[in-house]
Amino acid sequence: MPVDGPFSGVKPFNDWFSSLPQRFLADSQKFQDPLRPLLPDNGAITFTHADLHEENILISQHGPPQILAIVDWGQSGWYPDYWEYCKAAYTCMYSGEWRMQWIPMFLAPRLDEHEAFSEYVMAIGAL
Amino acid sequence: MDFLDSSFFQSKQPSQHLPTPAEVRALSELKNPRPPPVIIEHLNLLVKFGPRVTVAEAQCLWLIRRILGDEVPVPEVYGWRVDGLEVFIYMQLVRGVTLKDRWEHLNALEKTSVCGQLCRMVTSLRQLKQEPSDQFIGMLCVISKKQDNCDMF
Repeated sequence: MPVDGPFSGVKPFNDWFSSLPQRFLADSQKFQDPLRPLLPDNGAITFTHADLHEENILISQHGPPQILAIVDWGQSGWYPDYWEYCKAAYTCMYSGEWRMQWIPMFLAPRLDEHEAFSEYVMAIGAL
Repeated sequence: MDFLDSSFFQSKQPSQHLPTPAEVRALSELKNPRPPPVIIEHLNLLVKFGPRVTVAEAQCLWLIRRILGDEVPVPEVYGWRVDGLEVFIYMQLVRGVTLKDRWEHLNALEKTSVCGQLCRMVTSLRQLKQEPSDQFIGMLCVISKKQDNCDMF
């Protein structure tokens, strides 16, 4: 999977990300992407772990559960503020309890962005 | 790179040193692009290594711990090595279980508590700010110009 950047802001990043599914098409075949408007270009840039799933969160084995460490920071960096939710929600079962009930307790759901995100990621065959 | 002020080097044995990449590899059974980390119990050490591991991750762990401390707990980094095409990150062996392993044994109150802790951690992480005059988007490993090793998805 191509990784590019750094990007000068949210819009150049969104343009790049949304272009990935079409990157092998000839210019004449490229189409207007109906999902692109779901990615806002005016959002904040936030520091992001970018792989917050249940296996990267280590907790105490006994007693009241205490988070001991968040691990695997290999993908971390500066991303649009929707990225953390989208990555966390994408790396788990679509209709599972973790995604539906618990992730929203620590990451505000970004459902529009997630819709575009998952279409793109599926199209490029990543994950 | 050795973080000589980390707890690894401050421990009782004054001559304690990080095992070499060759010693770590010898403990790893699998030869693959994503070898599982090597754990050396008596040194309280976990070594994450392989061609897809980046120095940027080690620097990130060091920075998070230094800047955010207990607000966002991460393993303490003892040092790193670059050996050929592979990077070795030497870090504290955190003696816990994954949330995945314990989740189904937690009750609703405990699950809520975990998510509350996560919420505080995400909030803390999001308080880090870039220089207003130098805003950009990028994975740390891209910024450090090692993108051949990067996986974004």
